[in-house]
Amino acid sequence: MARWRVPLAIGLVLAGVFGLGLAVGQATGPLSLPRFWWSDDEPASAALPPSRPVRIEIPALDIEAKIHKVGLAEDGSIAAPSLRRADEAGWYEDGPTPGQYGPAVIVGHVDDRRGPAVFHKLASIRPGARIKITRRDDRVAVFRVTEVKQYDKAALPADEVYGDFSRPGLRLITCGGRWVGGSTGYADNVVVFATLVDTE
Amino acid sequence: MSGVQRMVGAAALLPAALLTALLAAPATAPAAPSPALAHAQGGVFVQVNPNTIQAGYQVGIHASCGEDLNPATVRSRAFGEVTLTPLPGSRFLQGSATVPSDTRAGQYEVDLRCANGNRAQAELFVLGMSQPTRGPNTGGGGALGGGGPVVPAPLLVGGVSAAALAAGIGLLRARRRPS
Repeated sequence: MARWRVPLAIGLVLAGVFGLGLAVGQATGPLSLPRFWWSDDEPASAALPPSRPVRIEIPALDIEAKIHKVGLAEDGSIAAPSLRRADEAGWYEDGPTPGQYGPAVIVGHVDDRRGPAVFHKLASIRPGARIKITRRDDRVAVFRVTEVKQYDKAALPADEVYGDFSRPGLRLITCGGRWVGGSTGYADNVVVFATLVDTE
Repeated sequence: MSGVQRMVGAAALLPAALLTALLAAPATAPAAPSPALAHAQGGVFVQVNPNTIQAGYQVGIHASCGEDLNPATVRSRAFGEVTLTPLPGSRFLQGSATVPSDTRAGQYEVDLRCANGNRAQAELFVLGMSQPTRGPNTGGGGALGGGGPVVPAPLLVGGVSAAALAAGIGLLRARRRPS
């Protein structure tokens, strides 16, 4: 009778320890060996140090393009790349670099007078798609699309687009909606929201 | 004596370092020594979360003074001086700071000073991002949705009407002329 008591006790203890470990693991995030050994030490950060982006790849849309720096336009909006560089994307240089905490902003033309430009197909991207940004330090920040939204060009929601510093993020912006011409061009902006999921 | 201790310490760290190196992706392998380094310094560190922030926003500060559980101070030219208080039931200290909105963009040192004399540093990147509600002009041609440039509807209707009128008048005059 007492023969199965000891194995049962051992089994229960092992199951208990396993369960506790699992619970602690769930509570503190993915198990990493250094954290396992030295639980009191500095937690690792997923973010990257600053380094400016040089190249964008969106495999789902077959987009591959160079990135150059852009500042602000005269009307206070983020400057679009010059039409001579409509096949390149522009990174807003006062914002974070892709991989740092906060929303890195990259803008690109949807078209120019000759036809489709770098972000022509951007509005058709779906949540879940990957965006790879190669940086000058040769690191690659991989983002996952969470949302695709369209806003009136005169009323972008600033907090939503520029205000989230809780994670390393990415905002791809291009034009969309109705063509009204003049200095406005298209009536709307398409904004793709993405979050850092991997670094290479 | 200390040499021997160091060697023993290194021997103890070796298997762990090897395992870490084996488990980590090649790109992240160079970063693996940092937790070991922090451990060697008795787990003293300071972290700013997030470590990139827009001027005017608040950051959280997370730190440990090792075995010292007294409040500690953190100083930075980005936000002045704040006091960190111990988190109950742990060796960690916590606090927060707001970076004034007129802070210049750039890289700032964040300095932890513990009551027991331990010190640690971290970097904080402050941004002076403008947050325009006006979107960028990223359409040069009006070619969206395929085809060439789209002619605005009023112009199109006007043009077609004018052409039809001219054709009609022309036809009427052509019929009259033979008689």
